[in-house]
Amino acid sequence: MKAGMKLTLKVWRQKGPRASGEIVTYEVSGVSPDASFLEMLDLLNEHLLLKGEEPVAFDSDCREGICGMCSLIINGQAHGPAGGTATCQLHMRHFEDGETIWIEPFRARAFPVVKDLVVDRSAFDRIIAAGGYVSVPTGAAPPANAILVPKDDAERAMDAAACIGCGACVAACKNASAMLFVSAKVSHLGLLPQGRPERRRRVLAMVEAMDGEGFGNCTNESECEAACPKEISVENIARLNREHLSASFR
Amino acid sequence: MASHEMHEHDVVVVGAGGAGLRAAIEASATGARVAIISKTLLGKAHTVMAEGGIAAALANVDGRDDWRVHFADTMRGGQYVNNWRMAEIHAKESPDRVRELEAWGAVFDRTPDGRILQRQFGGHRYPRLAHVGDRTGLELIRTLQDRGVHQGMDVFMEHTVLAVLKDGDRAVGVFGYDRERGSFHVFRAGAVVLATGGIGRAYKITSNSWDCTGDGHSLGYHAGAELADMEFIQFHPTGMVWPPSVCGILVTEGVRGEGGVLRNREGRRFMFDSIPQAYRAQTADTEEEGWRYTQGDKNARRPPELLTRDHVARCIVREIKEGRGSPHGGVFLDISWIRERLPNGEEHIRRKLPSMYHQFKALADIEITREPMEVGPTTHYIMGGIRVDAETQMSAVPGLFACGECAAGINGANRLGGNSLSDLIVFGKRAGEHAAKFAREHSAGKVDDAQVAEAARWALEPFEHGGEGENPYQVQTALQDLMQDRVGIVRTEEDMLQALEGIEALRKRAERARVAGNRQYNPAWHTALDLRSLLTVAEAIARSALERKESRGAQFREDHAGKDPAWGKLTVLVRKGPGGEVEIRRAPIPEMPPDLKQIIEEMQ
Repeated sequence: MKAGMKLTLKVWRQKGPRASGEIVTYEVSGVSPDASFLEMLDLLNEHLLLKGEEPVAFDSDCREGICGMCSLIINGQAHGPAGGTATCQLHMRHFEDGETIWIEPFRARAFPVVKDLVVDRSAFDRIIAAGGYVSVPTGAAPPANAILVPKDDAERAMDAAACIGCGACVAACKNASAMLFVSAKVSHLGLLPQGRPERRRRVLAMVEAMDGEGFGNCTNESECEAACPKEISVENIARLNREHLSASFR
Repeated sequence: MASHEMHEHDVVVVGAGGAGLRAAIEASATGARVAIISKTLLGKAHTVMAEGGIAAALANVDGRDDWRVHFADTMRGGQYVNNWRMAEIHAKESPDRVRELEAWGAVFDRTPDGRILQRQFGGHRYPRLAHVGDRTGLELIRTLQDRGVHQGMDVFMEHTVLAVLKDGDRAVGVFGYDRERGSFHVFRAGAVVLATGGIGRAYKITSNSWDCTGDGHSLGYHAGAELADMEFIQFHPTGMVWPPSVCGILVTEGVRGEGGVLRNREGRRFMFDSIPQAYRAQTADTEEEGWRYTQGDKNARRPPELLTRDHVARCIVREIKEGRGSPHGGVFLDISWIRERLPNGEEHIRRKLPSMYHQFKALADIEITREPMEVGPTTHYIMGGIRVDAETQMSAVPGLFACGECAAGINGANRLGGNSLSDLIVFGKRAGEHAAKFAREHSAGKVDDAQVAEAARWALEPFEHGGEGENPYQVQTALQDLMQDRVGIVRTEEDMLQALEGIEALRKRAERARVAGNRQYNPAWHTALDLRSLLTVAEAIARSALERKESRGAQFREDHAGKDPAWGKLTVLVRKGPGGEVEIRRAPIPEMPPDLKQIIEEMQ
């Protein structure tokens, strides 16, 4: 194994939602190239704690790329330089010994900073609440095999449903657009028979909520697809536009 | 008294994983005002990490399946110390709960004629797991979350609950703090549902999420509920062992279900060497038969890689201990060999196991379609938890309910894969339904200001300790090492007595935990407060494991090898005594009714 790496970190520190933030420089050493990026931050926090300073706040939970909790801009890229992975799946072997790494929160008007690297992504939940569901009553379970789904549709729906709601698409977009997120949801439900009865109402309500939250529009740069840890395709945005257009004219 | 915000609801649900969300949905559907409190963000709970599927006897793939077979499988897996009534309810109701998810928009893999596809899994006689590739948990949680947020409930994210508030014997609310701002909150409610999940973070190597710190177990215990079966902890046989930063991350049993095989460094399929008597009749005799089983041949029997998790985990430990392990202290799990059998093998592996493919590619730089993985046991699931009534999920404390992993009963001494997701939706629904009913039938209780003041004082203590205090991270790491070394897969009395001594010493250190900075989003403070939960569950586990002087299911005592029929009739219970000490007792398991006994005999 390589000896521990020495790194210079430029980290965004912000005490609270209304405080003004700044980049603070830290040095860390003894970082194993096999460590994950978040473990490197854990190491930094241990040092800070020993010195009696407040640790850097950042979000993480499952640490294996499923929960969508982690959210960092690393050297200007959402979830860092590796493709198809979330921040928690990024390893230090992607960096050079002696390198300077810039670490910032996801930035978008609709994702206000809570503290340091933690942002409030509840705007996504409000978009879902506006229409990202199937509204049949809670109660009696349906009879067996009442809903048959062709295998192809199920698989395309599954590709769209791979979204983990991390918000990297928004952070990567120069317009801070949430179109990839919304389109993944609209595609997932629109491709399934149980989601079809409400497709018109769904797309109109979700797009309205998305605009209301202050997300920008899509200008087809595809940065979102490149940043997406689940590699969700911008084809879904085309499907969203088509659904929205046809719903608007009806 | 420290200031706090007051909230009023009929039902407050602590935990927003599968069980909590399902409970909240059910309670809110009856018209109750519901609050759901999550330590993390909505939809990020540990449930998302479940990969294999949801066990339900839908009989879509094999018409011979029904609830009776599922019940018998669950009881056999649990070595007959399960709460048989819970196992019965679970087997009967899980198909309805799965169809309900489907109606709510969940995607599932499909059979060629469009029905929900079901896959093979360890311990299940027929293909029974409804699944979505290998990200079933994600789909389950998202479906419930989407459903929950539109149905109307108050969601409190990034809030940690620190105490259950009581009016006399009855639970009447909870006290907690908001992680973002650090402010205190009191939630007054007609009924409280605990659905906080597991305890994996009490161990060093675990597949659990970073938030699985046993909060619900601890909240229930300190509120006066009993903890049952705490000695039974499932070590998933296949976690990643390399590189160190990903140690513990799960490699789904689905890999073995799709034909993956376990080999030691000599290349031998060692699982064929020790097939337990109880499973011999259902296990393949040859490698050829095992392969045919994984490819859906109904006349073939399953390969020994699909035996119960505790057995597979111990076989792997044996291979490693006897020097036949892989270079990084595991054994080899190989799925790439199926290319010999399937012309489009690589494509097949990538489509069937997409998350596994990416996980190994991204984290370990290993191409699983071409080379074997290195795997070893990782702490995965606790069968033990809050003792509840099978019908209502209410604990010994009136108004306090529990469901999901933090409740005990359905799994007995060992859980079958796939039975946890079904547990969440079956008993989550019941807990929500009965909590709402309890709240309707009882007048609102009174919140005692003294209890609130005491909880707030305790929570702020870490800020009072000066430079001499303990670093909470170091206490947590020491506890994880201790549990890993002393209360792991193979246990002895001596190890556990040492563990209890160690836990006592760590408790004293935890009381002096010190935190710098302010209350706003302070990760060190969160860790300091989690320590009480971790220490409470660690002690309950060690004491229960010491008490059960036999080996059964997930509990393996080197000094009491083998099952003792007398212990097969007993449950180990832990509760907080009047002086704050841990009380342990053995309770007889109620006699099973004749119709259920008959099912078990028929299915032998």
